[in-house]
Amino acid sequence: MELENLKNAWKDLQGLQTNEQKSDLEIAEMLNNHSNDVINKIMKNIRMEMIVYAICMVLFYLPMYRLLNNLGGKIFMAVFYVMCIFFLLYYRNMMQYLKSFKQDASVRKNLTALVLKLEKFINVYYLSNLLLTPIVFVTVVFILIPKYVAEDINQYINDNPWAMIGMILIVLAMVGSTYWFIKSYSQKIYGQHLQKLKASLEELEMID
Amino acid sequence: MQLSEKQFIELVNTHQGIIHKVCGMYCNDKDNKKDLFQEIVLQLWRSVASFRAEAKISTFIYRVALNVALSGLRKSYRQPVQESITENVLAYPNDSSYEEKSEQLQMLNDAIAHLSEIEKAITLMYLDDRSYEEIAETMGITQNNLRVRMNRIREKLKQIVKTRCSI
Repeated sequence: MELENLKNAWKDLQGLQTNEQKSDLEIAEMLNNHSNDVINKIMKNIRMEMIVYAICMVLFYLPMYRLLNNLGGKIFMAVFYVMCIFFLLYYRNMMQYLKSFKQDASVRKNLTALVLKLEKFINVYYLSNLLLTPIVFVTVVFILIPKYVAEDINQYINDNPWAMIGMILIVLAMVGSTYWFIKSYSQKIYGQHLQKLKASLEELEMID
Repeated sequence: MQLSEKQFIELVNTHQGIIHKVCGMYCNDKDNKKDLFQEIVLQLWRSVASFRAEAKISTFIYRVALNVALSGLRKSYRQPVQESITENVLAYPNDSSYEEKSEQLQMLNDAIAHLSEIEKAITLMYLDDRSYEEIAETMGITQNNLRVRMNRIREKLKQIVKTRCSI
């Protein structure tokens, strides 16, 4: 079988596809539908995360700011807010970039840009969740529980070194399990796809 | 290139053969083909403003269509193409020359299904009689690189057909 000899047979396929021809109306309808490509899927996830972060900031941390009367607590909250603003800005920039992303470059350039974007997105996803987990934990254990559940817990932790070690171990375990969860989650959503994109890109770059 | 919606629809209508071929190469059933076709049309609509008139519009359409197909998130985009090709082959009239052609096409498509995504893209453009320059530009590789790849693809296809014939 020579590839050259099959060109004519291949061209005949075009004739056979006439029954699949789309009408003007069908094409016009397509323009009004939503895109389901990888970029739009990432954008949907980012939008969702931005909403979740914003809701957490307003509902959970804003009222709590009033509870913190000491300077340490206020600094802690300020650091938390700066981080949230950093992530929100990052997500906003990411969204703007993705919105302007067009698939009209060469296949190689397009794959390179997609791989970089997906890797960056996954890394920030890890980082933001890794940093936020201990903050949420510390907030709950050292601020919310003493305020509403057990007032003397801070005193107990300060007086008992084993309790402090236990707390640190729990924080580490939580960070570890969060890291594992986020890694599996993002791997499930984007990981396999990223591997396929990387494999295609490596194949394209193999000879060059 | 600034196009009105009407002009864009005319453009897609004129060149929809390219989009159908890309969909046929990467999708295994009608629903996936329909989804991919729509995705390509949407991406073309988003990108058409950046098209420069000095380039060939068919190259531009190929580039966008292949990018969408290769970067698609759905696993089903990446299944072998046997079903769609079988459907097409069955559509041939019952005549000996057609039968021969349909056999050849079936064999070709069975073999193509074993190629990688990148090799499929190159083979598709090659079979569609695109120049080496156009294929290399679309894929973002040099023409020398493309020649090496084409030789490998030919060898690979021959090997696949040979193996299948010997079974």
